[in-house]
Amino acid sequence: MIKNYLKIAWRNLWRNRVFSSINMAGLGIGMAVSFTLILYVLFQFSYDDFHKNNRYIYQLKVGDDGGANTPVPLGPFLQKSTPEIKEVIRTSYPTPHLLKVGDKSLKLSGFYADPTFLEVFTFPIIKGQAKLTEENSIILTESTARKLFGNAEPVGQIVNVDIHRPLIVTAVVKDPPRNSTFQFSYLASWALFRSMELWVRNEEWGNFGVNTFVQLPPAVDPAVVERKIRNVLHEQSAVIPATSYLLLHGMSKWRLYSEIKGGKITGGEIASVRLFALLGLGILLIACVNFMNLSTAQSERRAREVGVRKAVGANRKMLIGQFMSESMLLVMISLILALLLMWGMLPTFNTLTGSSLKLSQAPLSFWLAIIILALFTAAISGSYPAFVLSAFKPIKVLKGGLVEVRGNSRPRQVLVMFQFTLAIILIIVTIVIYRQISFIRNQPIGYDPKGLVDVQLEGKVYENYDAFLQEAIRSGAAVNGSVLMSPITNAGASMWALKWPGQLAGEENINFGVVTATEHFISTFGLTLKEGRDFLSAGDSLSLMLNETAVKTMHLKEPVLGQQVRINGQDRTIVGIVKDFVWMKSYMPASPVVIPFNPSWRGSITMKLNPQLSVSECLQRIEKVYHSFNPDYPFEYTFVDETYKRKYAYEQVLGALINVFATLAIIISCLGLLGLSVFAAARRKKEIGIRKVLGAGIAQVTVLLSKEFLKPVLIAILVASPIAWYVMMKWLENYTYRISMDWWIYLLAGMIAIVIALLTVSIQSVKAASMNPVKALRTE
Amino acid sequence: MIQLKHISKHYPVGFGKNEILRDIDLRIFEGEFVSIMGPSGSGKSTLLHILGLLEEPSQGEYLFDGEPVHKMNEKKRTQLHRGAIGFVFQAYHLIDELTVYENIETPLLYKNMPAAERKSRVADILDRFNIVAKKDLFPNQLSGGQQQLVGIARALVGEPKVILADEPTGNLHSDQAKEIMELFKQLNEKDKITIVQVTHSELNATYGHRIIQIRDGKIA
Repeated sequence: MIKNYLKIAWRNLWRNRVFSSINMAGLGIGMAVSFTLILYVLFQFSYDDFHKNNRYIYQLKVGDDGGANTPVPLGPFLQKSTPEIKEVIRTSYPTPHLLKVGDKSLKLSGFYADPTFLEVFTFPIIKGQAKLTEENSIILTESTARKLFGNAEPVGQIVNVDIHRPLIVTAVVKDPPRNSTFQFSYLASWALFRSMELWVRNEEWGNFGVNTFVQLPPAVDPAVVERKIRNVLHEQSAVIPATSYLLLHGMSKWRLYSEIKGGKITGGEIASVRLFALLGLGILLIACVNFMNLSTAQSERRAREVGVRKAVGANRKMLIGQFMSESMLLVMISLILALLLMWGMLPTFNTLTGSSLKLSQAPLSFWLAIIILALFTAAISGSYPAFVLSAFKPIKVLKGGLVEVRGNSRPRQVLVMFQFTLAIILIIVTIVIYRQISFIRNQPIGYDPKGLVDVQLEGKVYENYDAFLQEAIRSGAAVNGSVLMSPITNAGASMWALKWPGQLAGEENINFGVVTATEHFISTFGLTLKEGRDFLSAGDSLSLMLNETAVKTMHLKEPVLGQQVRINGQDRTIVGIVKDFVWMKSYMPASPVVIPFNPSWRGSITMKLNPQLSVSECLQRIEKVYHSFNPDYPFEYTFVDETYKRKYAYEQVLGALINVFATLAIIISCLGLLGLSVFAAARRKKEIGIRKVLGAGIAQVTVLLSKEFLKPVLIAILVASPIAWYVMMKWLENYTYRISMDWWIYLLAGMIAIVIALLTVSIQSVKAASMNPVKALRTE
Repeated sequence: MIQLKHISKHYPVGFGKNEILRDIDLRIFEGEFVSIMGPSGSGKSTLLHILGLLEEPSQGEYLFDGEPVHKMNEKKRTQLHRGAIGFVFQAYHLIDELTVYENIETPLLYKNMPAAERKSRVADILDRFNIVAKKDLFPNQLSGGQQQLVGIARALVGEPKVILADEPTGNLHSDQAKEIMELFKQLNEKDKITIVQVTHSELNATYGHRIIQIRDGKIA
């Protein structure tokens, strides 16, 4: 029976080659898109699931916003005081260091961790011992070991870190997979961290600078532990406000539920994962609609077959089986097409989203998912023809010659409307996202990022930063420069417990952003001073600048200049007020920022390149100067404007993806429309012939044929606009500075849809309208 | 073999109803060859469809081999339909996508017959009707007479007790019509198959044993 079904199915597909290929193209594209998104979503869900203890590992987060920074002594304290905790691991933030073996030197990123790091986080150890107990030990990843030692045995060898620090390789671990939250090229011991950094040795409760993780035994309820340790920080140090309570953030939620608000895990990446999942499903549905439409359009022809089959003994179930196997066959062919398409599309998708998905590395769950999805698609696509056609009463079909399947074009029009609704929503979404991105990108950021270059301070450049800057200026490459704790695009530090004149009770808990700077901060960045002056010389060591919002937050009385603010135990004099500038993301509301003159917290230097010279010339000169200080270090730099642009990578990716999806949705919808118009033209051949004999012109007939398809598109515009409006209003709420949803957006989207739909339909309509009417009438 | 008691059939039309058949009483015995005649719209095709289980009467009883069809469930009815009844249509109604062989095979597929048996049955009937050479052709490659021959072969392949033919020669010219009617006669006489045909043609009606005249939904 199945063989027979398939045979008939194949013959039918072949007989209706045009419809079949339209169907398969649409389904293939739709499936390729949804499979790609499934692969992406599965990848997101697979984050950190390779750790054996992944269900029992938690990161400690602090306060309402769930900050990841914790004080150094917290870990050991919890280990001692809380028997329910099996293991505590502290890690530093990954930072790049220079690793040198022989004459090979590489700048790679790694971090310091407590000795049992690899026992809690089970990155597979290739050789050596897992414990990081010795101060002078270092664990390399496989690829780092290969880069440094080639094929030689790395364990027991010495690696020079930052030139002066020889460390012995004690183990080699597998590279962290792409779906690992921890990304590192090497691990160094906590003991080394201690001996290098004063603030780590000091074990201050008030200094939040490391990450702390705990592993609980399987039997322990995390909620109990959370309650127990909640107020540890405030109890141990009165300096820390009670609002800095502790939370446990489970490993399975690190990736997708990274946002914490009001002490609750609220969401994060899961929002885009959901969005993508919905999009994938939507596009697949559009493709399924094509299938249904084209099959029902042919139903008049198939109706007779159904009648005959019923007359010779088929029951409804068997006919449903037949139609289902037809759609199954078609879906299977489309599936192969989809996998081929996907294989071709993945590299582009990867570049777009910055991921590295590969079909060959797809997990079993992916194949399972696509098979289920294919069956589901076949079921949805086949259901309409299967149930509608199989319900035909055989005598009606067999009595006369031709069968009139009444009311049949209505559901088809509804389905077309549904397709175009989705497509138009996607068009509107694309327009809005694009406008919003260009809007925030063109927001005044308060400084001029053009020609600004960041260089990390390391080695001799760190020690003699001022000499380096002066040399660079003398070489003609730079015109100005200022030293910051971290690049302005990445300045996320904050501080509380500030004291200022007229401070009210409780205001010591207000968080201020901190950007430390040295001389010429204002002039280097091209910031605007509202009052006062720039930092001028080392004599400004107790000076301070504020941004306008900080002045408002502190509600300082006029004159503001000259007043004293106490930061970190130092009284500093306000010398300047800067207009608000963007130092994080521009869609954040302006926040108060203090700018202390502080070269001892230096991390990077920002230089303004000489506009008289070409950028490459400037960089060559700076590189020369850099190597005169640091011959062993590779010269690395970043452009501030590029880094700033990259901050909108998420929006850009989102925009690009939605654009692709919208295009595909339209292509698929148009394929369906094309099929329907081919069919309509064939069905109305006689009518067209008669009308032409009666004197209708090509234009009139074209209009007649196209009108049928215009109506559902027009209704789709009406349905899509409010939905898109609602969705995008919600999305735009994430942004402080946002565009308005102008009426012309809907109009534009509608026009695009209409024009594309009309073009598609008219190809066929014109063809049908230009045909010789005698021919059409003769065939009847 | 077939007994109809007080069968009527009507469709709702607006607020009233359109009566097609009224109070039909009919007996057809095993081995009979019956012709149903009557003007267009008299209800003869509807009667044939009711006999063939393609339509249900609005009222009345239908006994097939003494069993009440009107009380049967769907499953039993389908069984009866597949096992005991063969249909022949005026417009042949072959499936365009299937070859001659496959068209004939289709009813056997729906009876879930094993492949080997199917094969031999179809081969037998092809042989008998002298259409072995045409078994791989599609219906549109055959003449009308040949198509109807395939239609009859398809009706016969399931070895039905009764063949219901709805104007089987209506689309054929007289020579072909004669051939088909001879075939019916032969089937009736040699194979003892009960045949009920609807026809306009007096000549065709003479092939049968009995003529039932229908006028305005009633047996005249």
